[in-house]
Amino acid sequence: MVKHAKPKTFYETFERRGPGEKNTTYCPGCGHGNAHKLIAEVIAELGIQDRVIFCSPVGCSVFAYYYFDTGNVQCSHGRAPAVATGLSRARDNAIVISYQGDGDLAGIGMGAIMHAANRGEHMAVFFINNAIYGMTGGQMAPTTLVGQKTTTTPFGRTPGREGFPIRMCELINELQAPVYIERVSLGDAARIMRAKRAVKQALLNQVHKKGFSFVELLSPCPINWKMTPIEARKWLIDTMEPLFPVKVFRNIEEPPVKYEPPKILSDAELVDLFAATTEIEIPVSVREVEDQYIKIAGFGGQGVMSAGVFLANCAIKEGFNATWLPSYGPEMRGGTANASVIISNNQIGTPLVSSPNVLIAMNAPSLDTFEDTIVPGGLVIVNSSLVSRKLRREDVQAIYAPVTEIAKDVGLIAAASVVALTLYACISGAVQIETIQKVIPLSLKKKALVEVNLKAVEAAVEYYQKNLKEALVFSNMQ
Amino acid sequence: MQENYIEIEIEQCKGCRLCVETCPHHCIVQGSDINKMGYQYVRFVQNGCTACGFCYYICPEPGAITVIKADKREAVHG
Ligand SMILES: Cc1ncc(C[n+]2csc(CCOP(=O)(O)OP(=O)(O)O)c2C)c(N)n1
Ligand code: SF4
Ligand code: SF4
Ligand code: SF4
Ligand SMILES: [Mg+2]
Repeated sequence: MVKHAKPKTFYETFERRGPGEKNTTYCPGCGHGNAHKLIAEVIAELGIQDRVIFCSPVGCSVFAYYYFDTGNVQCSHGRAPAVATGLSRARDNAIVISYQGDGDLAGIGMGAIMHAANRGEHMAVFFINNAIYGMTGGQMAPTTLVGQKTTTTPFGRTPGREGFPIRMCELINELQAPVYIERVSLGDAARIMRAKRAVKQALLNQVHKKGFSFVELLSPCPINWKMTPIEARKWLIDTMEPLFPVKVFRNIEEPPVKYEPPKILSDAELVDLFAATTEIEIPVSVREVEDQYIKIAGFGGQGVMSAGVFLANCAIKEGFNATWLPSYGPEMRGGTANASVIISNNQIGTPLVSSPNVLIAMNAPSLDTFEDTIVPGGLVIVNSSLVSRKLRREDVQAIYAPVTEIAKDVGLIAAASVVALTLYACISGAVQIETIQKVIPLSLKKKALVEVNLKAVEAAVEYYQKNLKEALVFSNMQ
Repeated sequence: MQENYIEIEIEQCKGCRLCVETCPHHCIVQGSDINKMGYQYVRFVQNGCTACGFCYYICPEPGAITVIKADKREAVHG
């Protein structure tokens, strides 16, 4: 009878290391692997694999999503508790884990963790304290011991210069909201087996909606401690544990704040909240459309952001699911900007578009940036008013149209993005022209602007009929 | 009689020797061969394994060690 084996929570193979590989990216003797195993075992035992969302940090465990066959979000440095907050608030059924190192949690992310704890967010935090920045090569962490040598404290940490080590369990224990705080050690097998009980308690607390649960795991980093794996475990027990006492700091039966499931607003309430109007009649189309991964890119100020929102709105009005994600530099005008829009008949997992099948390139830098990212067979609409070159790629469909000039002719250069969208709609059929015409008045406040944008749509349709339609039919037949 | 034992996936072992140090019954020894990744992997030697699981828990690799407990009934009837 198999008594202990690789838990099913792990993927069968960890492709990060190469096809079919089965071991982790951690150094020999690293504590991250032990912590992963405990968490994976408990998830399997509680039967919650399909409900877990694992928020991984920046640090050696950044690739946790290559190991855990659960929901996964890799968070920016120190912000896993903020991401976890959003996830657990939005998804009532989710069991949210924030897994963080000491640099991540107690350094750059100190604010995020303290406030999440103080709000009593529903999450299990697993804090891997190895008293060092592992991934970056052994710099001092907030938890580094006095006297401990690191690359940034080559003569040992000195309180007068670098302050004292920060004890996170003790700090968080000052707050009212957390329900469970415990520090455990990965120093030897018996300690690891005890640590499993803490991991289980923290996750059970999530199952029972008890609240914020914090488990600190003292963990070895043999490589950066410059010790053998065996020496590192011994140092952990002999030197770390006296400074970071292993104990239960808090385990509250009755949570101080009662759980309230997220309130989902009705459509009517949403319309009210955003002072939106719904007075348009659009025949909701239940057409099957190939998923559209669209990148609209240009100068800041060319209207690519609003074009993206506008397109997503048109799609939603037609009954599709749609997302919009902006990306721009800090400059308000003149920088480069792009919007990602996804249109689908199905649920959309992430709003990111890294391999578009549609690119609308409003200027030359946009084409340079995104040409190589388009999937073979994708559609590229090039604003030939501003882009003089042709595409290098031959495996995509390229449409060159003087988008800015068409807009200028109707009297508003800023309507260029509407022209481009209209061309896209004509070519792809993903959204209907009628929808565009009906959504424009909802998106713009000034009546004069509405008119000129409607003219831009008309001009674009005309341009399509005259210059593109036949050529496209011809090229599609070839 | 069937005995408790462990299985070691040699390609997943990183040769850290934590299991060697940990096993109360000295059932694990470091071999001299190296695996594809260049680690000197460990071997199981039957020396009264109790299927205690210590080696499994101390091992950082998810799938390097599997612990198998002898099935008593099977041993009696088989
Ligand atoms: C915003 C930002 N700042 C700094 C870094 C560099 N960086 C990467 S990992 C890391 C520290 C990781 O240490 P820790 O959280 O203790 O994780 P460990 O690797 O020890 O598990 C730092 C500073 C980064 N990736 N992003
Ligand atoms: S650097 Fe340290 S924390 Fe990172 S994998 Fe190696 S031993 Fe583990
Ligand atoms: S299960 Fe226990 S006795 Fe058997 S090899 Fe592992 S540590 Fe040794
Ligand atoms: S603990 Fe695991 S990785 Fe380390 S030597 Fe033993 S089997 Fe190999
Ligand atoms: Mg660390």
